[in-house]
Amino acid sequence: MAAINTDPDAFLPLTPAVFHVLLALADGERHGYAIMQEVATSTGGQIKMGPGTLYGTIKRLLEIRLIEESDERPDPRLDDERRRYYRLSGMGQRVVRAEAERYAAMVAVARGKRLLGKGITIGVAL
Amino acid sequence: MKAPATPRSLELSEQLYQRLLAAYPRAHREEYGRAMAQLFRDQCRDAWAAGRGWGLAALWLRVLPDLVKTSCLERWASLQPGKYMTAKLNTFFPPARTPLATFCVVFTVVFLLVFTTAAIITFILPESYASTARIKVETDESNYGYTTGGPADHPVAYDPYFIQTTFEIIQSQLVLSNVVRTLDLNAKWGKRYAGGEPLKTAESMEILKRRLLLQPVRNTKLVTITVYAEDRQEAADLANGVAKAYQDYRLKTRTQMILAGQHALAEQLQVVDEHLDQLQSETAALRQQFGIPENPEQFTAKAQEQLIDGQRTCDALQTQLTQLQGLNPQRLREVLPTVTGDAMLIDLLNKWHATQQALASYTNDYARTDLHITREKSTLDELNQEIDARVAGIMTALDSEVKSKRAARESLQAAIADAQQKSKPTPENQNYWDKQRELAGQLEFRKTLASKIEAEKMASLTSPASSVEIIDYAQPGFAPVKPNKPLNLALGASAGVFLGAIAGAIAATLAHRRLRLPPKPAAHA
Repeated sequence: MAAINTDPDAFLPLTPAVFHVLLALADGERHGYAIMQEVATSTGGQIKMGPGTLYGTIKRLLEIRLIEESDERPDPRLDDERRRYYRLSGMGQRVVRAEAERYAAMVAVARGKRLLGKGITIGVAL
Repeated sequence: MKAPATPRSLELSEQLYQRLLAAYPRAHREEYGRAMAQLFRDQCRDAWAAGRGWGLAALWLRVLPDLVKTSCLERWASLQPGKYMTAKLNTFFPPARTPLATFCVVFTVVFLLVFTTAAIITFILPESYASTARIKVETDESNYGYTTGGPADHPVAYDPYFIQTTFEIIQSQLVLSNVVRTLDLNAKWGKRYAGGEPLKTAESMEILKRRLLLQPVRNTKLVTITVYAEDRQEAADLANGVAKAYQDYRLKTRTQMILAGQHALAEQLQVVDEHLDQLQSETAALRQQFGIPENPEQFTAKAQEQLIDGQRTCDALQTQLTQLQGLNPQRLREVLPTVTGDAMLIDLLNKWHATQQALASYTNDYARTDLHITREKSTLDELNQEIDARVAGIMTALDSEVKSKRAARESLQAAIADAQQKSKPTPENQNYWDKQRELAGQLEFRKTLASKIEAEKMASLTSPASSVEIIDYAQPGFAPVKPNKPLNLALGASAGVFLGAIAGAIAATLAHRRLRLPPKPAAHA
């Protein structure tokens, strides 16, 4: 297995699918269906990830260790215990923060060019 | 608690997706296949809850491209880095296959994939039935085109936007809200689409409007109202409901227009009456001012008749008087009682005859000097004097009557001449004749207006006919109009052949090149 890069900037820029999945996991661990719902909710229904895209993305994020599979299983009375839960790794948190800061810098540039109003803020939950 | 039954189309979709997972590499499938299938199952249930068959179809249209793209990517990524192109290609196509065999395999796989997908989508799409009602629409002609100047008989102008306006009215809240209320669509569709919660009327109207198709029948006044629904009877009920609601709307509008017209006519009659009163007062004042008879022609005709009668009477009297004057006194005394019937003269003559008889009797019995005879002779002389005086008086009266009749005739002739003279329009009395003409026109207009009001009252006693007639009521359809299964399957087969041929040709070309590539030693681990 190739050595894992420890510099968050080396992963940037992220693809939209990767960024949305990392954002969905920023406030806690989720299973695949919950990630898909979170992405759809946060984008106002504009992005609806299919199973292939979602699990392809999860697979790559696991390989480069930006996310990790949680060993804990929910109470069977509350959820299906066969579901697999994922959470951000430490590197994953740094990468998604770096990507969000990159977006924020771009927004600042756009605002400086009067392309955006002052009322618009970046709502990235990390 | 028993779980709700899973719709057949959901089960079919899940089974198909599990089959399609075979497109992914084995390792990926073993690692994530079950999770992907579970995620797809969750998505299917969400889609079914949101839009039933249509939602499921939309999900498939989103998932299929995702599946094709990601399966290709996973296949490509599964190739070990450092392998030669030949080795990479071998993961897709075994090296033992010839180009023809590769073409056949790829063609078959792609064809089956496309055709099966088209078939499944065709069979999971909800069936839709159509029912059509036909109505005949006429314009509402206004019967109240009167002005104060008189009746206006204008033909109704052609309206090029009439049919388009009709379509918009049929789709408006005025008509569709009545359909929703009459057929209780809020409750029915609430149970079907909102989990039992009644829909708002605006929501039901929106659904109904999307299912409504209005079309004119060329070169006629007919309009077809077609409604699509999942149930054949519901489609017919909706089409008939829309037709009936539009007919009721037009009837209500027409009734309101008739009532408004009657009210306007009554107001107009009142205005005309007031104007007539004023005109009649002014005309009477002018007639009095110029001494014009109220009806000169009638006056003249009547006076002429009186003149002729007076002339006839006068001539007869004159003739009678002339004949009487030509008689001797004795003869006149005999004739006059018969002609005039004068009672006093008749009485005197009777007395004279009685005295004459008495004298004759006394003359036979007594001497001429006898007192009886003397007294009778004296009486007879007195009667003769009275009779002569009475005859002279009667003759004088007849002469006076003749003169009086003549004078009356001359007076009547003068009155006729005066009336004819005054009845001629002159610059002085022109104002009167103008008023008279205006009065005659207004009287004629009032007569027409009054007859029109009476006709409208009679018409309003019966129900006004609607300007919309339902020619054909919608009947439940025998077969669904959507989806068109034979057409969809044919299109799926055609697309499968086309895409299969392209994919097969590409695969065969790659297989042919691979066979020609010389094997290279593995230089990269």
